[in-house]
Amino acid sequence: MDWADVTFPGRKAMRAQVEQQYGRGQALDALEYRFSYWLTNGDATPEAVRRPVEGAVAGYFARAATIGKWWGIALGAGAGLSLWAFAAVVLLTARAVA
Amino acid sequence: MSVRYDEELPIVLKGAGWSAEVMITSPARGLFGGPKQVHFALPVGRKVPATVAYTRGRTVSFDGEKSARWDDWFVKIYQCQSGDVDALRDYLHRQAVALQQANAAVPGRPRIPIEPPWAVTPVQIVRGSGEEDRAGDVATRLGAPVDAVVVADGPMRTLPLWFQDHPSNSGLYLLAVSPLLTQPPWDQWCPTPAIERLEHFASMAVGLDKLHALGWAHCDIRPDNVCGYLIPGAREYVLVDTDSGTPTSQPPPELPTPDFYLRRPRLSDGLRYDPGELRAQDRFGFALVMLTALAGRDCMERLLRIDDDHRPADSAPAVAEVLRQNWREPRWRSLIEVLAEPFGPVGPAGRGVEDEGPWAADWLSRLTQAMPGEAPEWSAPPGWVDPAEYARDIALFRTTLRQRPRSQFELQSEANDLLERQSQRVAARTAARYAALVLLGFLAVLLVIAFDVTGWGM
Repeated sequence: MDWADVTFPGRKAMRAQVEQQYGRGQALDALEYRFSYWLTNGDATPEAVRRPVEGAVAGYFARAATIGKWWGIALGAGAGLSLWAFAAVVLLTARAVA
Repeated sequence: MSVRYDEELPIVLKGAGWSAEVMITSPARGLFGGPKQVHFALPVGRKVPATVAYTRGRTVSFDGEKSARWDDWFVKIYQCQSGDVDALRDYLHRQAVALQQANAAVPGRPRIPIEPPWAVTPVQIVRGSGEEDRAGDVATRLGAPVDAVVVADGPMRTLPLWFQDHPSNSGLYLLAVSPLLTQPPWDQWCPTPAIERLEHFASMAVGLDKLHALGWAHCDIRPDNVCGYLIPGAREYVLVDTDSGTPTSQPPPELPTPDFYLRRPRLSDGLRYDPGELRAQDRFGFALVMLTALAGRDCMERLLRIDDDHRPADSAPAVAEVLRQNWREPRWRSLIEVLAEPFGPVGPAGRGVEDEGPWAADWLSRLTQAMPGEAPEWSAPPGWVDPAEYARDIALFRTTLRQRPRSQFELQSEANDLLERQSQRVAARTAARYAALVLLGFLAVLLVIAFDVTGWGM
């Protein structure tokens, strides 16, 4: 399963929010040569290059995760409240029938 | 009689207490490309045309200390006009002696001329006529009886036919035999100065100073003319393509250096380089080699590229500025200042790059002194996040991006697209995780209430 293609209520809005905070990768532009050096050399990249590049990439993921977290909480709360409402209806109906 | 190109030409190199027999492969086998027309600008003001073919040789027997044996050789076979061969031989011969003396100045235990460490690759000249040649401590000759070569109607079968276009022409051939070395794979870009390479230039620096002291200049020092070799316990760099070397007191009318690597524009016809300018060209080339080793080839080429009628390599502050853009940490400032010095009008420690006396070894020593100590504590820039938590996402992003062929422009655009897509994955994955957790919370509360209301829990 590719999480990039998973759909759920509000997915479109969340995608837009991630796109907006992403800002067309200015942090990668600021890395200049370091980025392509890291890309080519991978694990053999010296620490002085690897740390800022991977930290900048992780920064994007962390911001995306923050957006995902709040959307997840909202979705979970919405689904939970719906579950409660459904359970209440079931319970009340059962009582009324009894 | 048909020419057999698989036949090899034997030569003998000999010195005090050692000798080597080397078999030379036919250049027709195309190991190093086809023959070329070259011109030697001899110090006497004479231009000597020659055809040079490139091939290799292998040592088949060696008498002497085992550690001094060199197995593979790079061979240039020059074919000259009949009136030029003596002048060219004399020139190459004097060059070979100067190179031997420069190498002898490199510190280390006493050794034979073909034994490393070297500053410049040693060259042995072999006469195609079959006569013995002696340059310094090395005597050379074809490994065939002299009579067989010099007597035109004699039995020529001892020499392969590819070696000469006609038996009587063998005297027009000269062989320059030097150890076969490989070019180091210079980095395109070094994110931090590759200071660990500095020590590998020590022999070259000493030898270059000695060559200048002997009144010779290499005249074509550039990163492409530097090779690397390994000796027990060390790796060294050495200057190659030494046939461009010239006596500084009898400068040639033109330099063999390609325009891109010239320190100053070429002289107009009729003018001659003075000894100081030849030394300065060598030191400029040496500085470019050091920059390539420390900063990478891209950086060195950027210094030499003309932009708006301006070439950074013509001014020390401009070179320092390019290097500062490359290495932004303040700890590299001193090293950058010393690295840029040879490009200024004054040169290292106030001495001009044209001056007589040792220069390269002093400059190398100052570079070593300018190396900073331990790296300071690293402080994270704004927006930096510890990558450990996202290690798998980072690895996936990098692997996917590497699989796609692209130009530099496409790389940027592709990286942006892939990073955004991976960010969407992270967001969706995190959203699903939190949604499930919150939903579980609601479910748990619901179950508690249900148990309470229905009394099922009792």
